[in-house]
Amino acid sequence: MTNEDRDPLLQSLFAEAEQELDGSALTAQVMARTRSFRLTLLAGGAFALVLLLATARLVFGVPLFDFAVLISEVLATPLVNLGEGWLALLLLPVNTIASLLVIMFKALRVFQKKVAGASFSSY
Amino acid sequence: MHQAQDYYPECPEAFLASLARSGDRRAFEELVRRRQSSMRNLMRRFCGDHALADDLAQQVFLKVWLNIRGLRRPSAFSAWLRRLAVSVWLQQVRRQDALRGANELSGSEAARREASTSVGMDLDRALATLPESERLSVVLSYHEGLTHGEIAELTGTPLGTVKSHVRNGAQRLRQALSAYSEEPEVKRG
Repeated sequence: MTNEDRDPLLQSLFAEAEQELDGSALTAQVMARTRSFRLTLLAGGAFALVLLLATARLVFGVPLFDFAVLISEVLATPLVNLGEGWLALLLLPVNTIASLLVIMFKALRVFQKKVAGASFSSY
Repeated sequence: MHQAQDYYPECPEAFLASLARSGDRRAFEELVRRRQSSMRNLMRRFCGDHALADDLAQQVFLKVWLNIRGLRRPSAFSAWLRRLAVSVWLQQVRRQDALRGANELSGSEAARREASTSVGMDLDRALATLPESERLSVVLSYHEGLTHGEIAELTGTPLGTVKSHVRNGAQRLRQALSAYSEEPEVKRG
């Protein structure tokens, strides 16, 4: 690097003005600021998450709840109208769309196992 | 039993920068301890206000901590630190706080300066009379020892402008500090 025609007097003054400063206080302050910054960042992140969840609940909460109610009502709909007698109460666990779906699912699983078993046994 | 951190004061700066980059706070602390004095001196030359200079130096180190993961070559830590320092100073200038701080000193700071006869204070006072852009170039040239090309690259200023800033700024400084060339032993004593 060249001296780029620097003024010798100014160079010496700049060199003389350079002080060796005690850094314990400043270093401690910097470290404290990095710590507090990290805490602020964490607190900010937590706050943002809470805000996000609250907003999501406000925006989607009611529609989701309504949807859940609708689904449960549909699933609980009786397949055959048996009135309100003892027979209706007796067959209530199987006389719903939900029970029909469960039975269909079970039958499907059994059929799948049988098909799989048959296909494996052919080898 | 000694811990690895006990040897940090003897470690090369690039190694410490590398450790700090991976999140080692003790390594970062050692870097701050090593660099704080030169950083505060640089900021003092920029703004002429010791309290503001210390605050700016802290801002620089905070930026270092936040951005050090982006430092690709730990061996370039020194140049990277200088770049951050200039960036913090330019932000300060844009906020106009520095201009107010340098040109309209608070009462206590002004009184302290009047009472002071040290070279540093006289130099800062003379630097405060320079236009902002000239002061930046002069300080980077004389305090940091950068070439005109390096200053141009660092500040994003055309090379010709940097040259004229350094030349004119140095001329004005020389005039403002002419007493030192006439009676150096009296002034410095």
